[in-house]
Amino acid sequence: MKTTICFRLNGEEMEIAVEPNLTLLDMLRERLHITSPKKSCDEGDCGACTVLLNGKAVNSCLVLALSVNGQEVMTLEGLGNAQNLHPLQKHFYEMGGSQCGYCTPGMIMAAKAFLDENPNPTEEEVKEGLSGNLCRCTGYIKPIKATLAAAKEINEGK
Amino acid sequence: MGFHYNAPASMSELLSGIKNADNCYFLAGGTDLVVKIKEGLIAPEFVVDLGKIKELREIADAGLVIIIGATVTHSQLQKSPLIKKYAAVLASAAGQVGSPQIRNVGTVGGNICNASPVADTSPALLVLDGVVEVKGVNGNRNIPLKDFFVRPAVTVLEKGEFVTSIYIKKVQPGEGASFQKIGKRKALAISVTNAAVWLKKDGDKIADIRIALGAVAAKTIRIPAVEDQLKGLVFDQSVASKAGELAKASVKPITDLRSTADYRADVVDVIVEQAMCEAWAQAKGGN
Amino acid sequence: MGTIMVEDKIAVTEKYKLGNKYHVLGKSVPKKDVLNKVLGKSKFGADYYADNMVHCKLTRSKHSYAILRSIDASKALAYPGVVTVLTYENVPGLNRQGELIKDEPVLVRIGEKIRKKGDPIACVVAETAKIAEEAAKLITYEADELQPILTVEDALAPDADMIYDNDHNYFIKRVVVHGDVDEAFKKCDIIVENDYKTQIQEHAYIEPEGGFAVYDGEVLTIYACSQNVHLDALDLAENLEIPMNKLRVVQSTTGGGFGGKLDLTVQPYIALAAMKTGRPAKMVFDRKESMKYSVKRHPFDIHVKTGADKTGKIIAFDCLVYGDSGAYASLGPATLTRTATQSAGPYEIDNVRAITYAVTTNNPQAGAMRGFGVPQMAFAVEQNLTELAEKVGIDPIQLRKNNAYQVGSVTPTGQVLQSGVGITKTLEAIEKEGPKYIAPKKEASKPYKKRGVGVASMWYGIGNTGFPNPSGAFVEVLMDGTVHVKIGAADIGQGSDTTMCQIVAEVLGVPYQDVRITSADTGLTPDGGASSASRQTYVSGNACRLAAESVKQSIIRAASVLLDADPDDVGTENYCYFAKSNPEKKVTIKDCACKCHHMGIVPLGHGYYNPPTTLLNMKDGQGIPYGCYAYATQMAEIEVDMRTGHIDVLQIVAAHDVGTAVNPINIEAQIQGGCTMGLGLGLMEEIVIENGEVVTPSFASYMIPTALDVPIYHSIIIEEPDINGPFGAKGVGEPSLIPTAAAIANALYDATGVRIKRLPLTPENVLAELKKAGKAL
Repeated sequence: MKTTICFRLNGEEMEIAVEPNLTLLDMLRERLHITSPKKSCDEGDCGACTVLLNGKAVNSCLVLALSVNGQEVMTLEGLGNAQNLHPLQKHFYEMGGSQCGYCTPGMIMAAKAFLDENPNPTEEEVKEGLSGNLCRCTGYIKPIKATLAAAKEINEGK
Repeated sequence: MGFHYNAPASMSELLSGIKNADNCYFLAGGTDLVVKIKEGLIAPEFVVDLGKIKELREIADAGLVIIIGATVTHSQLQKSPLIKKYAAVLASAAGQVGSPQIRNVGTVGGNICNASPVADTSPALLVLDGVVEVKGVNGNRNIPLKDFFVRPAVTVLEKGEFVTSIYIKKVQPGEGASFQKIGKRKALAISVTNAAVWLKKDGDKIADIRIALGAVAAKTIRIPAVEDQLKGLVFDQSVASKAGELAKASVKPITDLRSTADYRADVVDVIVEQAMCEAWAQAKGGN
Repeated sequence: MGTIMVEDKIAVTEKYKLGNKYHVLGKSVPKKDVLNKVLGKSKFGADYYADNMVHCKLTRSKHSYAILRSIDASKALAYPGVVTVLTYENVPGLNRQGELIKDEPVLVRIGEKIRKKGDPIACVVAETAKIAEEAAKLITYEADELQPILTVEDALAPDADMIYDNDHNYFIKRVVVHGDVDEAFKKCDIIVENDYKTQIQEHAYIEPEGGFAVYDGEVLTIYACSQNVHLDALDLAENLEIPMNKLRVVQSTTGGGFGGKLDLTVQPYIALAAMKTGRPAKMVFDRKESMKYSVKRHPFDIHVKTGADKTGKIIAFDCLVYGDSGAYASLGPATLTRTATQSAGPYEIDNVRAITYAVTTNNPQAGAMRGFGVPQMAFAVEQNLTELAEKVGIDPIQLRKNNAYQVGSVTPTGQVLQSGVGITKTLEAIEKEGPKYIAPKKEASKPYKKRGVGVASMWYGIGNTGFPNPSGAFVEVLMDGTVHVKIGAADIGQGSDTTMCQIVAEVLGVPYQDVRITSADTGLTPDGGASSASRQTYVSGNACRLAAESVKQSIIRAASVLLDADPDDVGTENYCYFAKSNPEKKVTIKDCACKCHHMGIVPLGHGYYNPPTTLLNMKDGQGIPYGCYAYATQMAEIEVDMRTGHIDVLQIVAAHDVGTAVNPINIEAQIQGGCTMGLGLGLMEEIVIENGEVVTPSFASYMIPTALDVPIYHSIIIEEPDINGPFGAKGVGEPSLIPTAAAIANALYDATGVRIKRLPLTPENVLAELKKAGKAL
């Protein structure tokens, strides 16, 4: 009982046949082997599977794959590469924003959606913006500082 | 395992395609429904995704009332200038739901149809005198939100019926409203208890008041008997305290994993008092 | 490269005034593993895919305590897509696992006891994870139910059923006795005696356990999350009855461990499945499975008595501790052993008695978790000390300073501390710096809130308690002058790869970016022991130092030929080797590596290090448990809502003696992360068990702090180098968590005058105690 859907993934058109109960997360990971969105709680409590759906941060474990038909999905794979790191990636890398790294892709994507909407945030606003992403290693301070540093760099580059 | 999935692009397409079936579910975000499907708690035969219908995703100014489409997300409520101006209590409550990711997906219609007694938007919608607009195979009807909830996960909706929008009254000058919540942490927290108060002032007096409480009963409730006792009183701190005491005396909360009955009873008065004071301050400011 | 991070890094390095003597040690270089992490390219166990792979899922026991009589897998075997079902009959070798005691069945044998809910009965191997999950539900078993033992009291009752073939229901009883405690208490002017209780804490690593196995007909390779691949390999080789050199265990990128990934999790099942089917095999626990069946932090019942003279000199300390270790030993015995040795805290006390039990019950097993039985004791002992200070009438920091260890102090196990005793410096730092951030007297922000400040200290022995725990390292200088380090130590996010590269770069005088590391791969790297007990900087760091020093001998030999100088005359500076007698002439390490090959030398070094410990006497616990100790003092500022019992932690000032600081940003990150986990322990985290079953197996029901819950942290790094540490370095991973909950509890007392002796300090718990004391509003 598969239905074929079309959507844009990191800027590329995708066409894939999916079952109705397949989540966006499982489609990305198990079908497309896009592994930066992580499965951790699988019920929207941790943010490790965060991707951007039409530019907004969502828990991909709570989204049916079928419902992204015609939509735009972005994962960390689409953000930057080793030669050209996105400012968020760069500052998470250089400022200790990642320890075990399991929450990192989701956290960076949440930060990306947050900064797109709020390019000049206060520290308290950044905390709020990252509050849907559980991290057990960093105590959040370094990711928060990295996000602020990225905001500054993005703004300076404008 | 499988189900028929349909995402109608318009209201007319939706109405023509509605399944009058027991196991037809409307997907209005999915933060609860998708989890239930994955865990096998429900096995739908049909899932109708309301997310593609534009008019259900809109917030509209209709004079004295605001019409909120069923699939308006919590993020929309939190950030909408209209809601922030005329129903800040709802923006505040919506902003305390889950996390940014949850708020981007979860919807107001989904939230009320899920009928969770701990939902954060319900008390705010209740004190704004929310009315639920319902459509279905057997026609349309409007249901006051206070009559909408039955018990956890159960509403008065009949099969084949779905919510299209919720009407709320704007908070006018001389009125104020506040939402208060006790959670176990500052984000991703399900309410231990929550409360909302709306009131209208007339000079020093409380001309009218509505109080809604969450997580102290099987559904989010209004406490009209308490409201009646407060109407006409001259507002001061002691009246706010009294409101808290009366609210506390009117509920019998339960113990569950999130908290104890004792604790819930201990803090109901605190949040009602706090909400009263904030609502009054707002009402005064609006004069 | 952006300027912000450079400023930030320089700021951190400058702030601590570290690393001046060294070219890379003490510098906040970016971590080796993190570039791939920010690109989403790191491969965790769940990220392995192969055509033709099979998926595994366990059928687990529903009983807490029973004897298994039969297993019926027929329905699962008939389910479309099921490849095979593994039971105990498919375990070729020893059907047991366990870090210290081999007591946990890989798959329960018929006739054998089920000892907890979730014991593995069978493992479905199927074409997809979904099929495996569905089929696992179809496997049934019969068992004779036994009456489960679910409390410490019941386990230790005289007529209790024995969970193991033994005459007592505990895995270990540990005694540390020093001096004459009973006599000493008679001489005390002030005695503080209390009972404390701590909860079960869950590691809550964000990555659930996962792994992938491939068998090529000769070698079985396992990629799985782990904190100790070499021990995994030893255990698995026994299970599989294959030689260790035909088993390659590789640590997949590990999404947090905190002690919870020391035990085997998915590895035995993917190993068995891959060998039986000849196909790659994968297994990933879901969140519920992870939270229900992984090891936990021990809940403690603590009785503690502290006695002092009227000046506040502590004369006697006595404690009795019961930890519910659950159904299997895991690292429970090691935990309660450490508890016994370190219970009294970083204070010189002539008369100490500590008796600890790791009690066997039919609850989920407790094992290693960040701090190994020390955080629970800090919660108790540091509250007792603050109470003592109040009774003596002196400042709690002063009381700690008056009793703090010095070089030459004798510990309760009879060890004489030789160097690196930084406790006093951490106390002085808090005394001096604390008030700069936390005003001593300040009103709370709201009339219904009260504000308080609390302090707690800790010490932590680096490495395994009283047991040899060596680590090895290989260092090779390649022909182009770059360096490859191979160590067994697992980097689980704490940063050991980075630390090792910094140490090797420092020894060899090469740029940090020219050093690459391969770690935790039994096919390539030497044994590095466990990434636990905060030991890798100290133990593997020493191994790396020794290996680098050994390869440096070859480099210097080559340099001496190239420079026409005596080897003793060769020095290194600015990434070059030169003759001290003729500093103008310089050669690079690349020149030296090439010259080595021309001379017939492979510039290859190896080294291993074992901390200078001795076994502890079973009778009185005397001996040398650790090679060095880390020390810390933390100060917490809180506000408590007297109406709701909510505690807001506003600021934490954390002073940590880490020996020599290898990477200040990483240390700061460890302190912030540890304090946050300690804050979770203090305020909100609690695994609830009903009838032997975890009823809080999700991130919605088991709450860890979010970004909005963390306070402002002020980290202070104290460097009190230890003669045994590499360049004097010790460790910080666990110490960062240990005093936090205790400092918060002391702050709560300061705010309210109410002392709460049960963790966590949830609003419910706090409000109930405030009401009892008549202080709630």
